[in-house]
Amino acid sequence: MSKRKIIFDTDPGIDDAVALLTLLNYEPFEVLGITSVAGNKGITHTTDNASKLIKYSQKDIKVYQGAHSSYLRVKGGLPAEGRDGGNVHGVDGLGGVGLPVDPNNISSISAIDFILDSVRTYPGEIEIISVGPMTNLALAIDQDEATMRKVKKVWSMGGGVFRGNVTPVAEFNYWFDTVSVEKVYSLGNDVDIVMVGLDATHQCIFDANDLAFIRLAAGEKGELIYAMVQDYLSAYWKFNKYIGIVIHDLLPVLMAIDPTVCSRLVHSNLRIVHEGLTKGQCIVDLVDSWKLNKNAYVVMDMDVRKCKELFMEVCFNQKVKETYQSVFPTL
Amino acid sequence: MDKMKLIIDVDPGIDDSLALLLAGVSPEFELMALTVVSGNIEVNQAARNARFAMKIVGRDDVTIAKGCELPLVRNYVDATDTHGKDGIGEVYYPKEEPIDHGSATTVISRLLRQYPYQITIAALGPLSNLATILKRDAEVLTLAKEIVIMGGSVNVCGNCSPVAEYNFWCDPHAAKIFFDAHLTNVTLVPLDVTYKILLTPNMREMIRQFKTPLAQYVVNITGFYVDFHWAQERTLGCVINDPLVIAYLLDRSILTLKKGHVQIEIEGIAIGESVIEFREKDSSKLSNIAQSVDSKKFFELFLTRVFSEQKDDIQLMIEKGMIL
Repeated sequence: MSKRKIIFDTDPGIDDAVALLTLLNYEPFEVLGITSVAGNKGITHTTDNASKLIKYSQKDIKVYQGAHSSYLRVKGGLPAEGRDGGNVHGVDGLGGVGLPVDPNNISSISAIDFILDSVRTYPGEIEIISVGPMTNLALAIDQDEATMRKVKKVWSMGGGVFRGNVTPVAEFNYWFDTVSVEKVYSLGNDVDIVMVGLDATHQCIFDANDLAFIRLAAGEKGELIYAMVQDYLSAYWKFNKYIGIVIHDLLPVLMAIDPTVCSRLVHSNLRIVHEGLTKGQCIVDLVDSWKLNKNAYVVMDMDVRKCKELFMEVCFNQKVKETYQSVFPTL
Repeated sequence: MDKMKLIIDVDPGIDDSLALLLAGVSPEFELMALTVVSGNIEVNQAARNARFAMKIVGRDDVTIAKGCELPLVRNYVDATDTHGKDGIGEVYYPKEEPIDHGSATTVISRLLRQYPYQITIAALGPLSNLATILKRDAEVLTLAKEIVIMGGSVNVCGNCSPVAEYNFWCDPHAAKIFFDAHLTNVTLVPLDVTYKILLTPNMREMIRQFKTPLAQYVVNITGFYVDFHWAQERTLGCVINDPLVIAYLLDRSILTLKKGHVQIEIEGIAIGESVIEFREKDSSKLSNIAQSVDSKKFFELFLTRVFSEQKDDIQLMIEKGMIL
């Protein structure tokens, strides 16, 4: 059987990094390439960070640099907004763990060209896991919408139905580039688009017990992840009063690997607000009151335990998962 | 209300240090003395560690007196594999000596005579100091109001052998002398209950976020312990035995007790085992043995007292189910 063909569109970012380390360790997927986008950090940082993670994973794939800012700024010829100060992802976007960049795995082909070429080569086969702003996908749609309608699936981390993070109602990725979100969901009649938003991701808190387990039981990669998430952990204490972290971008990867980690999926209409107080809010018509086309599969609940076990198994190995099960027994 | 006069006989030690913090911040106690013994770490470093802990909570006023350097009979084996080379997790290596107040055994005897039937003794290390006093003058310990001992194991595995707990295993002869003296009002807090007192990574992370020097100290000294517990027994988090004794003195509802006759094995493969006969009828031989523990109550008390400034955060974390 041929492997499922994946493109990972990302703005690493700590949670992106954990998601990518997991994805690259999953044998049944063929990851064709990684496309970078500005979001958590500026485009140079996110491209470099993707390169670092590919090198760390010793994979023979490339990162294709994408949009340096949101759709309207790119189209308007505006420069990138400065997003390279210290924030929850650390100054370098990877919590300061100091992995080396590998210039050889950074392609000269643009993200948009790479995505379109891949879909043309494998129409109806490409699944895009999109965990940053959707700018690259929107720019590809602008260039060749017919081709983009031949994407098999989009697994998207972004949005939220009943919660936000940038504002009370808006999640960062979707808020950062609302126009692109609208363009992508306009494909919803032809392409399955699965939204893994904040309602789902916040159910899956990796608490300090889980993280201590990862440090102690999951070898060198576990120690790397533990080191990487330390500032992120402090940020969750500061902003959410969690003793733990939400690894948002990991969840669409886990969904793509095993859709049964989702325990409630709602096929519904999704629209996004472009301006005003609720800018970036995605309005999901869970009860079909608008009777509009259903362009989104929205994940509302996760099986948290299953998510964690799957993560332990895929990112590390079967043995780590079994140890996890024995350290955290269930009834 | 009168304060509870308390002597803590101790060998700090990571969990011992946590016990000292709890005692140091609790206004119910009048801390008469900390009497130090070789155990987890040899007595001189243990005394420095005791001073270090008391300084952290601003209780440098408390008398610290050094006692036995060695067990009565056995060769001394410390527990630095568990507690680190400095006895408190290899971060601080305290160097400051406590002021010399004479020997521990003299200090304990003097205080008991001065305040007969008024002093509670919490014994958290090997019983070498108390046994030495008993050997010298069997009467003086009867002047204690109450003695609470952390040691032994009944229906759970020991931590030094399948049947022996460290304090009794380190100096079994002292433990035997102590229990054979049949003092009244002795309570034993064995591993059976202290094993339930697990400081989890979640709790440590919460404490780390408090970012005070005290919080940093607690996180730093327990780090080594966490790694040890994982390597040794695949326990995630660290068991903190000794603070349970102090917490019990503050809130008697934390432990349930049952009467039993404690005897100590001093030779063979079961050396250091505490053998408890619950059917013993002769009431003069009976001690109280802790049977069960309300660990939630313990942690609520321990955390909100030691970190009283962060009480609201602690309560919020309890409500959210994140630490208990």
